[in-house]
Amino acid sequence: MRRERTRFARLLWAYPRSYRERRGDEILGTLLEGAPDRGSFETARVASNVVAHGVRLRVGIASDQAAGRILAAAALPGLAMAAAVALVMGWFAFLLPGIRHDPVSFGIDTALWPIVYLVWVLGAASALAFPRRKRVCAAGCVLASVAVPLLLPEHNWPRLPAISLLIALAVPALLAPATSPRRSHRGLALFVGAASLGTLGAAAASSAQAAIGGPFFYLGFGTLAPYVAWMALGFSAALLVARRWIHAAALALLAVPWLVFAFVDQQPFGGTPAYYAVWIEFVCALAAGLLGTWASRLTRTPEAIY
Amino acid sequence: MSEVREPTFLVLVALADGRRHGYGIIQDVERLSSGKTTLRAGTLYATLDRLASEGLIEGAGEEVVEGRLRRYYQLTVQGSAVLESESKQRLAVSKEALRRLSRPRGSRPRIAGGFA
Repeated sequence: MRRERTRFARLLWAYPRSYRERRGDEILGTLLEGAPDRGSFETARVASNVVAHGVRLRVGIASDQAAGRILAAAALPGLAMAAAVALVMGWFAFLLPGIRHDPVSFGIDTALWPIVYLVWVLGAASALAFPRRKRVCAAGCVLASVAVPLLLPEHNWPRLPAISLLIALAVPALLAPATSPRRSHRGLALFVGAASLGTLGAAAASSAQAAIGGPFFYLGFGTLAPYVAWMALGFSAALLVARRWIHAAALALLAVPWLVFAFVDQQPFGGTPAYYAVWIEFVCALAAGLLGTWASRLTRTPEAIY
Repeated sequence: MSEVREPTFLVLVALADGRRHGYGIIQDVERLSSGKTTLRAGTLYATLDRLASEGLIEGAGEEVVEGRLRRYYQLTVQGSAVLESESKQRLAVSKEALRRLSRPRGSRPRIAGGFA
């Protein structure tokens, strides 16, 4: 029983500290009381339920408010997209020998991406760790993401601050539901959510990017844009549509034609064929599908966490 | 007061005849729903938080049993009223369903049209 107590107590770390102090002993008592009646599978489900609600309480997604649902839907694709872009750009910067040693094309621009991404990750992590200060964390994340490229020496990608801003907005978009239960905050929260959705739109309209010189079109990255766009769309679809685990599998299968296309296409990324990048697409589509399913199960729970 | 969904309704019913603690509610909800609804701890406490914030339930003391904290909950006056109103509405719908089903088959309305 002592081992179970320790294990259950560990689960409660998913909850914010203030909530844990208020409710922790009570929830622990309930978990322990039910322990003898549960099999290992049910114990795992209870554990995931507790962790999911704890994280949800930290993030503050309120499922009974339209604004909360919209923002939750906007935030997750935004976050997934930012992660995907960062992955691809990180891969560009560090794994392709030809590009890594080409400071003219991918010098400071590529080096900035990990910094922006790091700021973004730190912002999200600190907001989760310190739920009472999430607005400060979100604001700091936005400011830092924009300030870093602006403060650095002149570089050959003038649109970088705009991209940083859009991606940074995904963080407050995630956190906005937590700050928006009050009517007075909903306008701001919706604005942030809309900006996040706008990011998705910009990434998705890859052909328009080429025509108008949008923020995601840049040299070699232009050839990558369709794949990023597909990823973003796949994430959006997965996150908004997926309701069952089978949907996640179906969404992953949807990536297959694009895998084939990438092999046939052979568009070079700095001399490297496209198919090197596309495995990320497959993995991300599956991950997004699973995340979407998980998120949809959360938003379908009947109770809102305030 | 937002819509009363099934698990919320079951929690309110579980508290209808007196105070209960967390695990007691979980067990009663499972019994009431014939095992169809299983409330897990995370969902239960989210429900209790919301019901408390809406003034439908309130704390009713606590005790320590075998080293575990039990906090009890009970319906407030407003909670009883909401439960009564919701129960009457559900009862009326159920009665109507049974009344319609008890009609002879021939007298039930048929769906117009059909498949070729």
